[in-house]
Amino acid sequence: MNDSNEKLLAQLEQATASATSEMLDEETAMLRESWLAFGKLVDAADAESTPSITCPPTTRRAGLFARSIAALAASLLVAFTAWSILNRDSDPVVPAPEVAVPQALPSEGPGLSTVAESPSSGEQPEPVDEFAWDDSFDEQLAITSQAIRSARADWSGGDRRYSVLLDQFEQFDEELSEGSL
Amino acid sequence: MTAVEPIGAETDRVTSWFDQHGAAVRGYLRGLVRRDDVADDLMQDVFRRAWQARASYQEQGTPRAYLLRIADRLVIDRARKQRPEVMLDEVGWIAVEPEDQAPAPSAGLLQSEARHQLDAAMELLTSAQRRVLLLRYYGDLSFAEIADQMECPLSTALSHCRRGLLALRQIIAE
Repeated sequence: MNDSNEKLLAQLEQATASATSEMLDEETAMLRESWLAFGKLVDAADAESTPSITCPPTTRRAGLFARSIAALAASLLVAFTAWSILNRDSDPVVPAPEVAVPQALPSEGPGLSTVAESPSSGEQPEPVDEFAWDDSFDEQLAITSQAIRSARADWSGGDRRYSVLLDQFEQFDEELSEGSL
Repeated sequence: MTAVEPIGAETDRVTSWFDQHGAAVRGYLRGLVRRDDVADDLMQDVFRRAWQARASYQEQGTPRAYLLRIADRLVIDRARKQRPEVMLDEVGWIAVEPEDQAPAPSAGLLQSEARHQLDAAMELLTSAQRRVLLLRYYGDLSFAEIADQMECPLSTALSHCRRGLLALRQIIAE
């Protein structure tokens, strides 16, 4: 290192030292003044700007809590839906209530038309009454009707349960969004 | 042969570095890039790299000098990789504007006077002058260490420092 570099090094070390009590020459004092002013600027800027790379722990916990609650709610919804579907499939068919079936048609009086009695009263095959009450067919109709009514009632009840559950989840979601939880 | 530190001690060391030198590292980065968001990103990278290299760290100089050396290299890498910035019109900006979680602009205006002055002072300096002055200020490095970090002769580092201080005198005089 030549003399000029040594002199410059000593001068700059004095000018930029954290503290100096030595008497400084005019040029070194001028550099020192610039250095101190630079330090004030840097300190003031640092005081204003704080690092923003950390996340407050409370926010992290709140976010984790909200995510946990949302995951739990979603799991419950899926489980309830699956349970409802399986439960509906395994429901036995509701037996039809007994329907009163007329045992015999009145033999006299107005009512269903009947075939006129033949004037010849011999042994003849009984006439076929095409409008006679068909008990087996009527019973099938009653059973089918009851099954339809049961299915409708079951579906509307389940639908109502879903609606209530969905309403509760929507309310829960709003509370989460508003941060009131 | 160096003694192997337990993992907990390495973790504690990096954590204490953040507490003791985090502000200085960020100030150094902020002085070089003059943008808070970029300084924050680079500061994360500095401590991420220090964390990744915590097992192989060897005591050579002060921890602050070590962190500033990482920061210095990251700034240089960023300058090399930096692409020209794309200017967005108002419609394009609305489409891509991230949600602002910062304080109101008026609060920023009231508090940013010192940063504006520092940025104006930094504008007067060349990149090399900024590095020398900031390394000297934040790292308290000797000029030999600064020259070593900048990979330049000592006389060049001294010259950068002197010229930088003379340039700063202009803005101080104003």
